[in-house]
Amino acid sequence: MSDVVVAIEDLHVAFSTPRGEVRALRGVSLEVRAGRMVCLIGESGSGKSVTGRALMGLLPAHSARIGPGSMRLHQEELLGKSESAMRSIRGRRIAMIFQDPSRALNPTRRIGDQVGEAIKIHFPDRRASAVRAKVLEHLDSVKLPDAARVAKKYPHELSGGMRQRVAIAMALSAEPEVLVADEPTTALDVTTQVQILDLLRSLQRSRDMSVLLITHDMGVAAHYADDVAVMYAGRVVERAPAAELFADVEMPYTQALLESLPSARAGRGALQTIPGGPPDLALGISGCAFAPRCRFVTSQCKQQPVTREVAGDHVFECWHPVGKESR
Amino acid sequence: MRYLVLRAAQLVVVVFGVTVVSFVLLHLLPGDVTTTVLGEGASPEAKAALRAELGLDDPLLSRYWEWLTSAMRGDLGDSLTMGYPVTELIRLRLPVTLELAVVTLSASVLLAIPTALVAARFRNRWQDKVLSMGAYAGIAAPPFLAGILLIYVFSVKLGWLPATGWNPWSEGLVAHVRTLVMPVASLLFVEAAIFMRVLRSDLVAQLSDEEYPLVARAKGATMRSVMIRHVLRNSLLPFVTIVGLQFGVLLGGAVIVEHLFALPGLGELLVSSIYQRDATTVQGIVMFIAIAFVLINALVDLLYRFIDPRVKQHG
Repeated sequence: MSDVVVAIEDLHVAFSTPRGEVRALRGVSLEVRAGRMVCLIGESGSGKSVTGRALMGLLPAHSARIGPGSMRLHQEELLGKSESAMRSIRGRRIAMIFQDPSRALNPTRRIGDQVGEAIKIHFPDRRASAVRAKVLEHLDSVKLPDAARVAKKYPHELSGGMRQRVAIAMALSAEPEVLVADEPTTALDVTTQVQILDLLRSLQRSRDMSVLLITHDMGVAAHYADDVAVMYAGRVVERAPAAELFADVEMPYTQALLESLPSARAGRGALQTIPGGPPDLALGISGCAFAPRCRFVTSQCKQQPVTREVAGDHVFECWHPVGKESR
Repeated sequence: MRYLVLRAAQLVVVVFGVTVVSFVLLHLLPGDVTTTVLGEGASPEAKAALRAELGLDDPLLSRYWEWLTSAMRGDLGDSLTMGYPVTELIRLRLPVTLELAVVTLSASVLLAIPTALVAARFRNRWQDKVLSMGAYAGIAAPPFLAGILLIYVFSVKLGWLPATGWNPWSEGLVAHVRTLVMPVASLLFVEAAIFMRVLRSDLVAQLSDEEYPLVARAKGATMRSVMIRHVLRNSLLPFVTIVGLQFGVLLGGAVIVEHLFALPGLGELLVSSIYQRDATTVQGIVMFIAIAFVLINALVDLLYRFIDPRVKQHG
């Protein structure tokens, strides 16, 4: 496929912890194409955030072992790049927004300073007045009323939703081509969530930017994603363009996630939940990690399922797919 | 405004409490000032006459009241042993102690900030372990030990610096600094070590509990810039608090170092006045230090507002 901006292939990440080695990513493969919003969805601990931080080169250097695998930005391999080489990419080519805007902003620096920081880092020749103009432009672009006034404020003087808008302006200030948004609305109330996601999508479209939106909410994915990648226990178990995926789910885990959506059970009985919990990544996993919780499990599932492709770009790994096209 | 009223009230309570306690304690101590003035062999009659003259036989409460009312007018009385006004004694001694405290604290802060930044930046790595070990050694070693060591090396062995004594500014900068270096150096390591430990632990807490350092790195900032421009300012509140407290402590508590280097400081005067039962001098110095303590704390509170915009105007 052409115009792939970010390509992650068979990426492994392990953390050394007091409990032993935790294999957080066990061969993640993922593509983000130009101008697309990709939702990376999964339960807590499935490795979505680790994937995002690995792409930013922000995993803790002393406890994380990164690789084998590959992460490419266009054709450029990011894995193994030096810290200083990653710094010139961070904020400038790939930027990130975080879950909790109240902790993401420095409480003792003015909003304007914080939004201008990435501009000053990546365009050191720019004059102070030009930086300031850019800051105001970016604050305007995230629909903050009276940008000049907001720029002079401190984070504690803003509401949660406004802070997340500031965080978005901050991430986009040096005009990156890829934005990693790690659960950007989880800490916000429901109405604010919708506003922030709508804003993200409109910015993504107007700037023709690629967004990797990390979420645990299938409803968000169904509403906003161009492409969806489902993570489970450190692997992407199914990925496809959103329309294709929701028309024809193959992986039982994806199906279970969809069934647990409140809207999918409208008028029916109790909320569907997936029995059991995700496996302990400190222990070795062989075969399909979802098998212990799966309705369709057989002895074959003790072996790692081969990756299969149906239709265009619809990839999954399962011995017993539930979709139409695989049968 | 409400803040100022509260501060003033605090000042009154602290000064009142401290002077009452020191007045009573001094009264309870065995022996009195007449022995100091007249010598061991003085006759009981002569002692009694002097006691009467100094008003030491009046009831405790009336003596305190008399002292307090004249203190309110700025008159701290005369030293019982030296005859000079206590305010004059403080005025003579204060510059030495104040300079020792200010120079020591400034040097300690300048030493503590970079070492704490490095230790926190490389926490649990060798840089942190070496610096923290140094800090523990600094905290564990009492200043007089460092002082004796310094005197031994720089005065006895090398002969570079005078072992004791004090050259005021009037004798020239070099002569002055030569007598200031070792007293400062012997206090420096303890103070710097305390400040460094406090600051390091807050820097580490900011780095591990907060997300904004990671966000700054996500913008492409270097760790150095993250530490200096983001984390440092957010870790300064406990740091300025302890610096303020240590300032107060050094005003009255650098006694051992003042004594060791024979510096004519306030702490030295306080201790010798206690030995001589010179009640008015002790009272005066105690009150002065209490006021200084409260004022320094008020200053620290004011600094809070500059450091952290979230600190609002309240008491």
